Amino acid sequence: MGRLTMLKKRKRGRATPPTKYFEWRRSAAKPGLDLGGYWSYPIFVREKADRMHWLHLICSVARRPLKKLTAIYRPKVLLTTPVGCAMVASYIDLRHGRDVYAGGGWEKPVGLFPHKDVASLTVKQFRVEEERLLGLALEASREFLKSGSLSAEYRELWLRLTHPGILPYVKPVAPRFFHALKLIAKGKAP
Amino acid sequence: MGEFELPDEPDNVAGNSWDEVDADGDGVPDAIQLPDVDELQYLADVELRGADIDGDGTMDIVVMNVDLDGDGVTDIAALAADLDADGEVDFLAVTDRSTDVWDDITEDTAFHWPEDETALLLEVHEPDYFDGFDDYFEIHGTPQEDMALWDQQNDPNSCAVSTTHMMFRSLGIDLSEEYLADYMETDGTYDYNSGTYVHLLDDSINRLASELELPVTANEFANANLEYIEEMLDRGVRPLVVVDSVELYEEEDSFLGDIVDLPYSCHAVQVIAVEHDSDGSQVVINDPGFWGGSGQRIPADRFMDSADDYGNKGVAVTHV
Repeated sequence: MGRLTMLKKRKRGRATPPTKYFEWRRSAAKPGLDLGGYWSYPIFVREKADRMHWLHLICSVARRPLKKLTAIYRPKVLLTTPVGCAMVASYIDLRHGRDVYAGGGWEKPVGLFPHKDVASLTVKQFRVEEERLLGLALEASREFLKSGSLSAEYRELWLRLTHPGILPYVKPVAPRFFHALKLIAKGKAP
Repeated sequence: MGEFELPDEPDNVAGNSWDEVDADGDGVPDAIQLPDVDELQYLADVELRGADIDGDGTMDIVVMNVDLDGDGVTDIAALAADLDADGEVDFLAVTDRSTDVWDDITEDTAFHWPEDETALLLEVHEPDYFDGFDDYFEIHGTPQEDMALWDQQNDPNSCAVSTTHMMFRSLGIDLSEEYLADYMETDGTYDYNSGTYVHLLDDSINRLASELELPVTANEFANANLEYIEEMLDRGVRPLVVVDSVELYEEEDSFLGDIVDLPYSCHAVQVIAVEHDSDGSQVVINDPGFWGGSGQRIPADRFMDSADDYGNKGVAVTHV
């Protein structure tokens, strides 16, 4: 095998493309930004005809220690970043600013974490799956920009890891992505 | 300390039975009373109370009160405590008020409880103390004192508020967690649903200190290493540190359904000590997140890894 072939293979096989998603998700205490809580995985929204952004729904959470569950509430923040999360493109505080959902509903949780599809995973396994999803996200963004569709792998993994309680909140803010998830029939706007 | 054994229930006393109370629901009795063995119309002649502080199912503190003469006053009291949860009694106190039994005690000669009763009554055992102890066992901070000031957080996201409350108590100020939560909610530092914005916490504490003329000051820190934390503790500073609780308690192999938090949620704890001994280095924390979070000993490497996720950040509260 020639050296060029080896280099190409190595590059293609790189497991995790660079993304700051996990760093941002941990940064609950960025000055002025309320980033703590449950984060959706990258939702693709078209910023311009030739440019894609990632949208993140960030939800308040409340621990339920006795039940060993975490209650997830409706989104409180919409954060968009360039693909890869290198920086913030927009930050919308739904609680203190304009609420795009206009439906209230702050008091009652939309679901309990972990949901059924991930409850049997260990923390370590869950993290591996999250990293796999983010590893797919860059290529999936490019594909979505071109064709408006999602690869089956990204779609299935995104749906598996995402708490179903937030799906109704995806449709009003990212209808094309929601359509690509093939959930139109099931999805119900809040 | 092992589980203590109850004496056999006296079956020759009609109507008497052990009254066991399991206050924290862990299946271990926390208080046991034997009512009126001598039928002298007083509630309890022998009373045992225990507390399982670290939630391991065994008693860490046991108190026994015996009323020998049925006058409703304790004649013998004993207290045993396993403060470091190593299964050995670290602290034993016994008081004998048997003079109360004597009938010929008059008002003039009656035993009067001394003002400094603790000093008189306690027999403090320090079996671990020996020449060279300080070299063998290096400690920064005051874990025994601060463990007793542990407080469980009132609300799901109030860990930093509760930790501030513990730090204040450690400096001799008790404003209650409710008061601090109200204050910090009003000034925008704490949100019931979202938690505490740690980057605002030092300003909030300083504002509160100024308004109430409290002798404390708070400063945010970041990139703290273990030596920095030790130095803070040596200077009497009380540090709150932001950590990844899943990493802190090594729950990576736990199922998601068995952990309390999201697998990436941040948490605030008070560091009350750093200890170095033959078993290695431990960071001792008061964790407000769960019952039994008092004096949790975490291997230093693991603690620093869990803090590293959040930039080894925290807030230092100092007495001024």
